Amino acid sequence: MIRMALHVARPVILWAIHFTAIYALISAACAPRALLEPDVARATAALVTLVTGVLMLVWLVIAGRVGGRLNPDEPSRTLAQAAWWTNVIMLIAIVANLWPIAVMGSCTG
Amino acid sequence: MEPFETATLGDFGAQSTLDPAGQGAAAILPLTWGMTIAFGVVFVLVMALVWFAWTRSGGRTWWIVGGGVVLPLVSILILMVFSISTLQAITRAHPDSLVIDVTGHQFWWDVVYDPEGLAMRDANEIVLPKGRPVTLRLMSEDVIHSFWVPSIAGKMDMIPGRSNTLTVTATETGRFRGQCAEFCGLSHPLMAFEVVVLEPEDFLRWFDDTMGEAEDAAQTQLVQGREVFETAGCPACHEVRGVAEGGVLGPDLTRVGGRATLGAGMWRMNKGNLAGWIADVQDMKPGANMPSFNHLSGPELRALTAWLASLK
Amino acid sequence: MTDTTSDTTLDRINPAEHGGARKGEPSKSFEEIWDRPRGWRYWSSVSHRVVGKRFLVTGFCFFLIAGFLALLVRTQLIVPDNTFLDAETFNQVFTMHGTIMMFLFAIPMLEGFGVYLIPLMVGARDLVFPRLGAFGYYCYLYGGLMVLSSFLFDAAPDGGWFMYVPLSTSDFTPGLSADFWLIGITLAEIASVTAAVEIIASILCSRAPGMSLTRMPILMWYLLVTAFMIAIAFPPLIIGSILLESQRLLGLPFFDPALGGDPLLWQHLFWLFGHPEVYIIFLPAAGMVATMLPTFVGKPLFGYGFAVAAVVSMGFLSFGLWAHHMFTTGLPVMSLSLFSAASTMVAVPTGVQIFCFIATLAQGKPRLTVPMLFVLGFLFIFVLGGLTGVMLASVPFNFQAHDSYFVVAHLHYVLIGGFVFPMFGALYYWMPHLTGRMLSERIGKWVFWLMFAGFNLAFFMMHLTGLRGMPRRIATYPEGLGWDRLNLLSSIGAYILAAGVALFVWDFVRHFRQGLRAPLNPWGAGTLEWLYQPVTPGYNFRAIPEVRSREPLWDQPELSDRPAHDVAGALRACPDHRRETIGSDPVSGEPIQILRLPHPTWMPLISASGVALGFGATLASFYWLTVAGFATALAGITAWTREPSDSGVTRDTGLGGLRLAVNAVDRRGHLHVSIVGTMVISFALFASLLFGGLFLWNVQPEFADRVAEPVAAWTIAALCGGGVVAVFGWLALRTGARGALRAAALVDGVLVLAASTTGALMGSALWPVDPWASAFGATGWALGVFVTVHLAVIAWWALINALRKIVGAVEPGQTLPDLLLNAVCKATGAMVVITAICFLVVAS
Repeated sequence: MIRMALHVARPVILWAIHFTAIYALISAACAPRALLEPDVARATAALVTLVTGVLMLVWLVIAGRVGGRLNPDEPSRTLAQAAWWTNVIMLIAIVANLWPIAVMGSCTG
Repeated sequence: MEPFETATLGDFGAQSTLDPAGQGAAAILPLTWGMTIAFGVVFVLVMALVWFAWTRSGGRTWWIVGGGVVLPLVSILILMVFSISTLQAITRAHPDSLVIDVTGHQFWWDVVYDPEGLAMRDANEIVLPKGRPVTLRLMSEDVIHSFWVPSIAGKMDMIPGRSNTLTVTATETGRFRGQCAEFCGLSHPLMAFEVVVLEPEDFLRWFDDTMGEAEDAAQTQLVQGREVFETAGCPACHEVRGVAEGGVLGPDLTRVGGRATLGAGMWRMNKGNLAGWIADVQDMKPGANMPSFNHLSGPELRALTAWLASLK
Repeated sequence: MTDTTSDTTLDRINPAEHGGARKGEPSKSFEEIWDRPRGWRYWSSVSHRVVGKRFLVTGFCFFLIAGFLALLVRTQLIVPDNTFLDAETFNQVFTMHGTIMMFLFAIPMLEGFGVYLIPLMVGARDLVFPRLGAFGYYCYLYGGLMVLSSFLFDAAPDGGWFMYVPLSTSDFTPGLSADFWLIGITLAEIASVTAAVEIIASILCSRAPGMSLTRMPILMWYLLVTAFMIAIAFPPLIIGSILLESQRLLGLPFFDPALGGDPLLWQHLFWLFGHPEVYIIFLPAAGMVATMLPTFVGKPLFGYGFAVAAVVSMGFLSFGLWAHHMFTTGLPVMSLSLFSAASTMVAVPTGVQIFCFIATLAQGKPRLTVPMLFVLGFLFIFVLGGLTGVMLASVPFNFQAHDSYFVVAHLHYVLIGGFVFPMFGALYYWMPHLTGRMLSERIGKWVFWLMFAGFNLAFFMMHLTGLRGMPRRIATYPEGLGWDRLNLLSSIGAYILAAGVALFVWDFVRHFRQGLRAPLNPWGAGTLEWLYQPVTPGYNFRAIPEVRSREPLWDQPELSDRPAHDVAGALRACPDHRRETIGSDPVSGEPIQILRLPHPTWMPLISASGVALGFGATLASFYWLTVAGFATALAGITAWTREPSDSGVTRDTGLGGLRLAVNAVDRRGHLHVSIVGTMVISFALFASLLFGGLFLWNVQPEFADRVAEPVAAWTIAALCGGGVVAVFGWLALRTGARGALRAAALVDGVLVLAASTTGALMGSALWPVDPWASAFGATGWALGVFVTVHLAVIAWWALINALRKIVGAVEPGQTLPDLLLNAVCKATGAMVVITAICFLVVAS
């Protein structure tokens, strides 16, 4: 059960890390200090999203399989279901967060 | 003030996002209607489902997946495609555009046309040529203000220490009302302005007419009024090109009589209002930085008013 | 870790010479021990039921005050060019309306429900930190009164509830009005933060035997997520307020662009709080909906797992969209698009929740009671408000709608639909529990329809008013712009809405005499709080029952086939004459310890009064009184924690011979969990400061690069000091655990020295940096001061721990304080090291 609780927690924490990374990359590229070239920021963001996405996909599969193995009356099964859907929502969210950098040619659009 | 006599404050629709007269507003309006209709339909569908759920039994997992995940995702995807393309269209920079600096003050607008070239200063009214992209550089001298002419384009904040740009292209001639959209203190509701859109050739003519110095006072009363202006201390803040230059704390008055409104888009420009404004500005616009000149005598005030009204 | 259950070695410690009864009241029976103190001693009560009701009543009073202010606003705007209020009064009125509704009504109200309901729903006799709850309430009351009293001094805040700089700096708002806001609201926020810790620890650590995470009532998930959100969202605002107040009071240039500050930093910090705040308000209300719905449908919530996923996701996603309040500030288009996309994403978990509710409706035959009417009203209004929210997430549309009446309409749809309607439903639903009597169903229907009709009339029109170009926060508008009739209708709607609320108040007053006496479980609910005939006795549960279902009253016949008093369970016996409840494992809900709970005490009131005195004296610039106030608070809090420890004594729980330790030294215990929660808050505060520094470094590079460098040698020494503090915190725990109390006291003494020295080193490192010269330098000092405050706490705490060991107040094995201090030392050590590394990076 502790493991299942962690299954719920890890995609959201990973999302938080991913969001922070994307925000930091955009800020580094577009603020007056101009720490990064926008293309570097874009490539890094894509890489970060790829890693995050793969990890979430793996967790999604794991949560699905663990949930499938559990007896329907088992309390942990509800957590497995919650973990699966949390993974789905967060997977959508990281793709959405990457999208603007991917389609925008520059900081000003 | 003949040409402006008919201009009333607050024409119905002069400040509405639903009556676009500029490219920005026109680009956003379909988005507004599109979303209103689409989400209206979504709302009706959801309420219908509530009704259905109330009267019947059922309720399956696919309701949650369909309504909670698929429906929002599809609508959001469509929305984002339109939204981002509109965003890119309205924020596109126009390198050959006319540049106008607008600086927000508590509670008025300082306007400089072509700041890098001719640098003509004016206030509280912005004249735009129809069909030509104009880049507004928005700044603030004190607190945060926000520049908003709903009929022309969306708003943009004026933030101390920063310079924001807003590119607008007016598409119809006429008068439009703008207003400060960020709460900026005591007289925030009294911080408006007018945008006058002219045909390009009229704009050039207007610009040439206004560019020069103020007309010299001819009549006795006007000469007297100019003297009052100079002796009462007005030039410390106000500039009238050719008469008193260098005052930058208050609005430029070189063509004050030619503006349709007084007090940053709030009152009709006429002698009565002007006299009232000079004598009692703190009552008309609490918190303004100009003191009430209620120590002027009647004749002095009349002369000053007459002279100011003659500046066009 | 926990003592073994069958170990009798600890049993031989006689309570008379060491253990349980040192603060017990042997002359009193179980019922008397849990009795509410009478007369003026009522104010010393720390019971969650008393404190929860106080929160609810006070919050509702603030709701009425803020609602009255809203009527003043609507009266002013009923016709163009109105002179009912002058501009100054209008600005004060709308500022106070927003401020009171957000800080003094919505958050305290949800805390009130949380404080009142959590123990009842999870099967505990009280919250795990009753005194902290009482302390928080008094801070809230003082803070609220302080903000409200500004009207008496003719210094009511008038800069908007968002307090944007530079308008709120002393250049543009001289006088005390902004200080009233900053100081009063920060004082009231103490309650939010303490409630967050309390809610986290209570939900995780005091559940009834067998109540695993998935058997918790769904409201507990909502409140748990909300509490974590408060812990992370309030710190940016607290930091922002402190920075702004120090700019006003000391002249530090955090937000001054001329000295390398930035007005947008305030907006970032404010909305980093302000956006999650909306969800903090909405989530508990949605949780109450998810609690009421199953009751009236007669079937469990459909899609519990979905709802959990949605709530957890929403809690996180809501932190990634603060900048959509700043779409018109000129952020790069790429940032705008990121926040636009992130904002629309919340629609997914929100949609999942709403469809869980709708699917639940379809599970059975719903009963149309007054609470149910409010739930339906919530669905109607909130869905509409959510959809306009998605519209506002579209950047181009936002350029037009931002700061117009469209946003006013949207936010009221979301907040009134998402919080006020469910809250009224909840008041109808739980009123029998609160007072023992039912509110009138007949009047309730009138209340609902008046509120619903009035609300929609008032606020639907505003969508149109906004699209027709009317900006927010304007005291007057000229006639003829197409806003006149719409405003008239909105004002009429507001009066109708107010009539509904007034009718509720009348019904509330009436029901004390004429309301029907509530029967047992009046709505036929399945959750544990309805076990007793209303009003539930002060101890909540005579014996704490085992829970094997999410709806125990529906699925466990042994709970309802006999008088509630006779229901079997844990802790029926009360050998030590102490208030106590069962402590559980955070995940499985298995009992792991017996929690000793405090009896009525004045310490929370004294400490809160000291804090309030400190804040108030700062406001009034009587700085010696500030010192006196905080000294009183420190003394109060120290006295509060000075309590003979029963830790380690084992007692029979009454669960089939299971013996558990009292206040076990266990990382899963409520104390350690709460310290972890507190450190989460500390880190959020720390991160807000770091964000501020990074932000200024990034947007004002020319200033940041000119700032004098911290002294590298002292910085490295401070970095090492941070490590030493962490190591000695751990060493104190180890030494204490071995029973070497003298040695442990010595280690504590070294810890006092290490912490003080590290603070001094931090100051020496920063010495060349002039905080008045640049915002970046000032932020460096703020970071230094922040970690030094933590080091001071460690020094004080370690000193107390050492003294307790020396005077013999600690028995071998009683290492709870060391365990907790160890956690604080580790966290503080990490913050010192991070700060020092930042300084070194800047210096290089």
